[in-house]
Amino acid sequence: MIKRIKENFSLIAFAGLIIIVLVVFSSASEQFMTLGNMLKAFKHLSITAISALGLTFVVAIGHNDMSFHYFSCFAAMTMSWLIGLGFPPVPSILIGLLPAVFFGWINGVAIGTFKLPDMIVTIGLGSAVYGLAYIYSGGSYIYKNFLQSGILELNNGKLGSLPVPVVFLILLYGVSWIVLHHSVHGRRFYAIGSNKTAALFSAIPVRKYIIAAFIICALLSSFTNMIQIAAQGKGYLKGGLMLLMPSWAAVFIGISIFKKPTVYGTFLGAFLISIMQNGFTMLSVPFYFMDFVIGIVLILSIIISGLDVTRIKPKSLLKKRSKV
Amino acid sequence: MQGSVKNKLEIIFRPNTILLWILLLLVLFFSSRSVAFRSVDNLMEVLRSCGIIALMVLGVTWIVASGETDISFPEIAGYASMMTALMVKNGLTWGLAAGIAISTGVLYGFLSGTLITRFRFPALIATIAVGSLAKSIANMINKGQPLYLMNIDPSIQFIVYGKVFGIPVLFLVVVIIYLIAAWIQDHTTTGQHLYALGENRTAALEAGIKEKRIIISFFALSALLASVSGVLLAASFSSGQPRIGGSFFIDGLTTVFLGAMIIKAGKPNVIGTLIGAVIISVLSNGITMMGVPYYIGSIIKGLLMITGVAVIVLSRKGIIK
Repeated sequence: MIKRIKENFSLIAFAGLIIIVLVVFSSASEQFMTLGNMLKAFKHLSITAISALGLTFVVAIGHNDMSFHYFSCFAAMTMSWLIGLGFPPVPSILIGLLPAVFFGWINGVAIGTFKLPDMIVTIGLGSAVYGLAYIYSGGSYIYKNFLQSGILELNNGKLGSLPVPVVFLILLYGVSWIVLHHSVHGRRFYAIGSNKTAALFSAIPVRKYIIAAFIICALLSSFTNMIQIAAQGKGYLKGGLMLLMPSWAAVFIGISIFKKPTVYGTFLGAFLISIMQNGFTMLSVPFYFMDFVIGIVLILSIIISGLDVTRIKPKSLLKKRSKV
Repeated sequence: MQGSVKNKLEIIFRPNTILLWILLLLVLFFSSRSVAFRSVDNLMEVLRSCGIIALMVLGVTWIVASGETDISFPEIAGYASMMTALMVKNGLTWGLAAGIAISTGVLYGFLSGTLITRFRFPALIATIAVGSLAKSIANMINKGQPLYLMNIDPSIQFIVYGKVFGIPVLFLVVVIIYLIAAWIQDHTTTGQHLYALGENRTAALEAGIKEKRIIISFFALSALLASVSGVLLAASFSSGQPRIGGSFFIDGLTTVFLGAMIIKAGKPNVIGTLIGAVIISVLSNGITMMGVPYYIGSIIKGLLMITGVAVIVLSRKGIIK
C-alpha cells in the first residue's frame, strides 16, 4: 500500500492540488460550481488543451517547438481573410489549415532530415511566418462577413447539448489517445524520443515521424486559434501568441505527473490551468495575475515530481535538455 | 595563379564569414536606397540602438553556448524598466532605483539557475516559468499600464543619449563590456568550461567542471544584464513599459543565433553576438527608413536565421563546400 502511494505520489499530489483549487474557488465564488460555468470552463479548456495536445507529440519525439503559436496566427488570419472574401466557413477552415501543414512540414524537414537545431529553426521560421501573417490586413482586425458567414458557430454551436469546441476536444483527445498509447505509431514516437539512433536501427522511419509530429503540432494549434478567433468574432493577428505559455505549461505539468509526455497528462495539465483561469476570471482578478499563478504552479509541479519520493528516477526524463 | 586566387576567394567567402558580407550588403543596399539612412546621425543611432539589445543578450550567448536556453531575458528587462519607474516615481534617486531594479532582477536569474541545476528542469521550461513570473510582476506594478516619468537623471541620460567624439556612449560602453567578455571567453578556464559543457555535458562533468556553479552564474549574469538594459530602456523611453519584452524576444534570440554563425562556426560567441546585434539594428532601421512595413523585417530576420544555420550545419557535414 505504502509502496503504491510512493509510486503514485505526484498523481496524488496533483489530485490534492485540483481539490484545493476547486474548494478555494467554489467557496470564494458562488457561481463557480454551477453547471453553466462548468460548461463554459470546458469550452475554455478546449482552447488550451487542443493546442497543448499537438505540442505533446513534438515533446514525445524529444524536440522543442517555439513556432506553433506563430503558425496559428498565420492560419487563423488566412481563414479570416477567406471569410472576408465571402467563402463559407468549412472551406475557409480547411484552406486555412493548409499553410499550417506546410510550415509544420518545413519544420520537420529542417529538423528531421537536415538535422538543424530545433530551437533556431522554429524561432526563425516562426518569426518569418508571423511577419508574413501581417500581409492579410497589415495587422488590423478583419470584421468583414464574420457575423453573417456562420463561422461563429465553430465556437457557439452545439451538437446535442455539447458545445462544438468540447466535441472537438473529446474527438481529438480520443484519437490521439489511441494513436499515442494504443498503436504501433505511439510506441515509435516514444522510441524516437528516447533514442533516435536506436529507433533508426529498429527500422523506424524516424524522419517521417518527426515531420508528422511537427505537422500535428502546427495543425492543432492553428485549429485552436481558429476557435479562439470565432469566439472573439473578429480576425486579429495577436490572438495566437497567448497559446505558447499555457501549452508548454500544460505539457510539462503532464510530464511531471506521469514522468513522460502523455495524452492524459497533458489533458490534466490543461484542465488545471484552465480551471484556475476560469476561477480567477470569476473572481474578476486582472489578467496579468494569471501568468504569475501558472508560473508558480508549473514550478511547484515539477519540483514535486522531481523530489526523490518515487525512486523511479524521474530525473533521467526531465534531464532531457534542448540541444542548441 | 588561378589556384591561388581561388584559394583566397575561398578564405574570404568561408561560411563563417558570410554574415559579415551580408552586413556589408545590407548597409550598401540601404545606403543606396535611402538618403536618410546614410546620414551620419542615423548611422550613429543604429549603433546606439544595437547597444541595448547587445547588452541584453550577452549572458544569453554564453547560456546557449553551454547548451541551455534562456527565453526569460526580455521579460526581466521589462520588469526592471517597470521597477525603476516605480522607484523613481516614489521619490528615489535614479541611481538607487536602478540599483534596486537590477539587484531584484538578478534574483530571477538565480531562480532559473537553481531550478535547472538543483531540480533538473529543462532550461526552456524553467525560463518560460520564470519569465512569466517576471512578466506578471511587471504588469502588477501599474495594473498592466506603462508608468511615465517626468525627469531623467542627467548621468543616465548621458549614457543613453550622450556622445563622445560623435560616437554614442552607450555603444562604446557596450563594446568595452564585450571586449572584456571576449577575453574571458577565449583566455580563461571559465571560457573553456563553457564550451566544454556545450560540447559534451557528461564528459565535462566527469572532468570535474563545476557545472552547477557555472550554469547558475550564467543565468544570474544574463538576468543582471537584462535588468541593466531594462533600466536603460526606462531612461530612453522616459517610462516603464511592462510589455516591452515581446519586441525583444525574437530580436534577441535572432542576434544570438546569427552571431553563432560568425567566427566560431556554429557556436555562440560574444563577438559574433555583437555583430549580430549590429545586423539586426541595421535591418530594423533600414526598413523603417525605406518606409517598408516593419513586418517585412521579421520575415527577413527569420529567413536569414534559417539560411544561416542551414549553411553552417550543411557545410560542417560537407554537403556545401
